[in-house]
Amino acid sequence: MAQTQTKEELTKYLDPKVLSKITRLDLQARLVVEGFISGLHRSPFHGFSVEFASHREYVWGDDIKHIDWKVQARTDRFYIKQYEEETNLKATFLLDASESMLYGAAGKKDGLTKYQYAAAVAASLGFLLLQQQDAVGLAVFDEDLRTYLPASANPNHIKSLVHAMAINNPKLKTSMEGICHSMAEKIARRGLVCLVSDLFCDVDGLLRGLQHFRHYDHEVVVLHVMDADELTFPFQGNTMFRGMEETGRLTVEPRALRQGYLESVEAFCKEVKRKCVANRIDYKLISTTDHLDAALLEFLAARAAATKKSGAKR
Amino acid sequence: MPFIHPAIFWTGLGLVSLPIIIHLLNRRRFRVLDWAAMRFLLDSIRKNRRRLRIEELILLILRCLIIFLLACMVARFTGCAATDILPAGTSGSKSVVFVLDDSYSMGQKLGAGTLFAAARTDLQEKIASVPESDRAAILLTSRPRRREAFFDLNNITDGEGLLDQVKMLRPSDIRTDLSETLETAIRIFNDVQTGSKRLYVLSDFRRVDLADRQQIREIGKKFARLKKQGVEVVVMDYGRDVTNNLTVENVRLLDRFVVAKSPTPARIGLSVRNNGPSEVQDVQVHLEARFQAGGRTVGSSLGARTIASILPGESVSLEIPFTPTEAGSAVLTVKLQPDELPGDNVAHVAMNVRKALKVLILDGNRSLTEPEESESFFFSRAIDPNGDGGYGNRAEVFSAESVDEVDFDKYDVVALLNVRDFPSRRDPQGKIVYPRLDALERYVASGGGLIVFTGENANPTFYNGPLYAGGSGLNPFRLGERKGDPTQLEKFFQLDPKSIADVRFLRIFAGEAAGFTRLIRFTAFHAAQERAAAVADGRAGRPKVLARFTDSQNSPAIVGRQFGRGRVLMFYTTASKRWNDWPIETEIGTYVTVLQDAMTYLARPQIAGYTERIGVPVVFELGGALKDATGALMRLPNYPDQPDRTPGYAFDILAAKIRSVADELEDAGVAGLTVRALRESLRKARQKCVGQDSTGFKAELDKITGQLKASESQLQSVRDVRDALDEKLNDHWQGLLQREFHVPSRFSGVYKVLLEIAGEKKREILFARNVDPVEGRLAPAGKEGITTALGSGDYIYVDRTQQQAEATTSVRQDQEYWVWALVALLVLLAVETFLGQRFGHYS
Repeated sequence: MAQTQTKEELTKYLDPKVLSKITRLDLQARLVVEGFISGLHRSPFHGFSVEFASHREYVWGDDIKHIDWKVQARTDRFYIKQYEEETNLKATFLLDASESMLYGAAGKKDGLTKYQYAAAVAASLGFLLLQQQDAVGLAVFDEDLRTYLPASANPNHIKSLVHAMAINNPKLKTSMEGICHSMAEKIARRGLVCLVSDLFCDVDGLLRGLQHFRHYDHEVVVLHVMDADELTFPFQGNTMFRGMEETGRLTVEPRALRQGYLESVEAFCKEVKRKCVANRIDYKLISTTDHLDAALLEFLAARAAATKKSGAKR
Repeated sequence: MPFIHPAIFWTGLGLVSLPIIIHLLNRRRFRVLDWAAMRFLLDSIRKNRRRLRIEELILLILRCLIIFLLACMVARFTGCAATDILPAGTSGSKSVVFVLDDSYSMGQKLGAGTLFAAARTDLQEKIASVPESDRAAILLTSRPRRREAFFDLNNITDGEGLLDQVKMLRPSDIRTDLSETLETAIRIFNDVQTGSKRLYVLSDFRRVDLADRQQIREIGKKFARLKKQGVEVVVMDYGRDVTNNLTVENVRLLDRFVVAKSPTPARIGLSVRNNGPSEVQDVQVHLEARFQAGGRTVGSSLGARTIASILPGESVSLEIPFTPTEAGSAVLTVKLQPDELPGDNVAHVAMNVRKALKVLILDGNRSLTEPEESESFFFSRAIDPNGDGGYGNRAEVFSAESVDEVDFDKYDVVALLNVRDFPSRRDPQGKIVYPRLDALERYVASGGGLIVFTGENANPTFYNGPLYAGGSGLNPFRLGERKGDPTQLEKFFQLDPKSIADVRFLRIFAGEAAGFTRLIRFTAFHAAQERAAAVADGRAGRPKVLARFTDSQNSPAIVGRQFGRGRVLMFYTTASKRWNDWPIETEIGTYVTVLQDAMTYLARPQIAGYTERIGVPVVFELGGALKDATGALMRLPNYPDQPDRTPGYAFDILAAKIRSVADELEDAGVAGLTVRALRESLRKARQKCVGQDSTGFKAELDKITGQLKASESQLQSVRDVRDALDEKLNDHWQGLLQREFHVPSRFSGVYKVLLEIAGEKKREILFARNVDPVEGRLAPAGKEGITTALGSGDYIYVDRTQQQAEATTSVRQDQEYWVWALVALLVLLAVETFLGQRFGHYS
């Protein structure tokens, strides 16, 4: 029962509404990761390496193949062997900090802006990876590269990452193609590149940038973060829409435009997804109201694919 | 307006703009939202702009329609032509006015009945269907004023009784005016505050009635006012084309008077018009006469005349001679064969037949011992040779000095023969006045004839003074010096044959007979100062020289002048043989012929009013010779349907006029206090009159005169009535108590005044009133004509011209359609909701 309660307590931090009440990003990341891991019912991230690290007592859910039978014979208790995992993944997060990512806070009590949600996702994943001794880097950009932290496997690196995410205040337009090209040149060793953005930019240019990563054999994951409002367009009554990133203003009756708008959004997402698939890029559309495990699962799936690929190459 | 509450409808109609106003207001109210995904929004607008506009327009129209239907529903829509096919509920209280045209053209035959009978049947059906909760009024076009209404606006509590009364209705003989009746309908509807209003007009709508522009304008104005009042107008058209209709268009006495046994018969003019569509041949015109014979009134047929042919639209005139044998009242009746409209096939002409023309001769040289020396010797024998009136003239000779003793009004002609002058006296202001001359002027002005011969007695001071009166008196020209010497017979003048005017009494000298002027020799005459003639004033007409002498100045010999309604003939020589030999010219006898004809030319004409169009009242005063009548009755043409009338006081006539003025003042919006005071004074005056209280009566009449004077700036008719009252009061107000008939003529035919006079048999005095022949033009105006006259097509037209029972005999009943409006409203609401959701305007 106690275990169940702990699990429920931790998984609640996957909910963005709950998470929005926690102001510190590092704390958010830790809670998300712990919640996420506790929800998996097993610990898949230990014991995959060849170098023994230590024993720990068996807990329910552990794979019995890792039980050290010798120790069991000696002590009559179940211990499983833990190994030091090697750092075999270099992940770099590209976090969009353009003005459009600011949408979402206005008029909501417990909502996250797209930027906050994206930062939470990136921090959580970074924290997770660092715990597994993977190297994590970060690039925060708008129309220019604002912050770039090269990948590091130092567990304390998470503080630098979180700090970099927190100090950036989105206010400018996006220019992703250039950023992608420049980052592709900066990241020397192949690894995993995760773009967290609303993708309100030139899609063809973005794809050309992502193809650059693919050219250097990076695994590329696109986490397309959109606000729930942007996906459902729930507005009523005459509204003046004031465009972010200098896209003008428009006074309309939203209900009349809803269907056409949703069709446009769906067409856009489908197009992006189609192009990503065509370039062997993992694509995941995430709403800011989605629990964060969706993003984490998607990322892990991509990471597993990357690990498998790197292992195959080795 | 097909609404019980039109005000609500108009308010609702105004609210139809509400969705538009809300839309415009909403455009000013919006919230502001910072938005990232503008590209999708712009994309959506770009793709859907046209669709959005159409959808918004559809929704706007639907919402406006919803409000419109709501207004119709709340205002309680009572239907229009398009809703006839729908069943409907019964409306609330209604006010219905029926206008029934009872002009005589409605008497056009239709099978065994008439158009009027068909309209009356429809009216009965309509009345029977009016519930007791509704109010109805029935107006006849022959009685257009509200106080004459057949049935004024009220609930029909005794339906059977009313239907019986309607059943008794017959077409009148009057040509009616629809606009006046519409005015009354407007006044009736003015009194209606709530409920729906409907007006039925049942008429034959003849083209001739709707051809006059003024008439059309009036009807159009009335119709517009009715529509403004929210009255729904239902026009029931009974007009039918005619197959045959002859009309006695005109019948009248062509002569000025009729004399019994006159050698020259009286001439009756008659014209018959063919109002049918085809030529009519061998038209029989039957003549009947009613005249005095053997001291009583007898009727007799005068046979028939035949008109060979009358083309469509053509009028043919006839002249019928008529010689009554005895003096008294007579009527000649003209009858045509019965046709489709019998009302215009009969006409009458009434006349007062005189025994002889009474001529008063004032002789300036009368000599009883030597009659031949009298100035009147030849004159009286020329016009009345036997002294018995056998030649149509009855001469009575008086000496000029006895002018004070004669009553001019008893005579048809007055002759002044060599009269010196008239007696004069000084009035209280010291001015010289000639009372008898004034009486003579009044006599001539009222229609009497005056013939004047001059002579040596003629006093220039009188002739050029009061008789000339500066050119506006009875004498047309000033008298100059005498020309010629009566003693020198070898020096004479003659009538210039070229100067003989074309007048009836000088026809003896006309044309080739002009040479007869050479038979007459004038040894002396008065040279008239022609140039001194004054311009004619209102009473005296311009002098006309009818013959001239052959002197060097071509002096006027005979001059005529119209004076008021009478005529004056001035001869500037003697009537005796003193200054000429005309009386003793026996070769041709021109003297006799000229004077006989001159009497006819001058004699007082028959008074107007014997023969008139219907509508002109029959007025007859029991004065003069009939003052002593011991009994009097007026029998109307449709006796015994209408009872005899007894003479009323002349005051009644004035009272009727005063009441009419009071009505008009009330209509014109003059203060009610004035009108009430007038009516109260009138009531008191009647009381005094009945009570023979002359002093009190006069005082009340004076008060009425004052009240009328105060109001005369409001209406011209007030002034007329006040003047009439003034005249009565000033001249002989006691005469107001005289007996007098004043009968409005509502029926065509012969009106008889039956008099009982002591020592005489009953005497009849006949008057004729004829229908207006224009009504005989039966071509219907049709729907187009009616629409033109009404100035709008906003009425319900019911075609009753074919008289098919199942044709549109029943107009849409008085029903309400709010249920349908409600259904339509709900349907529209559903459609609006559906489309609103479909278009994405509703979540």
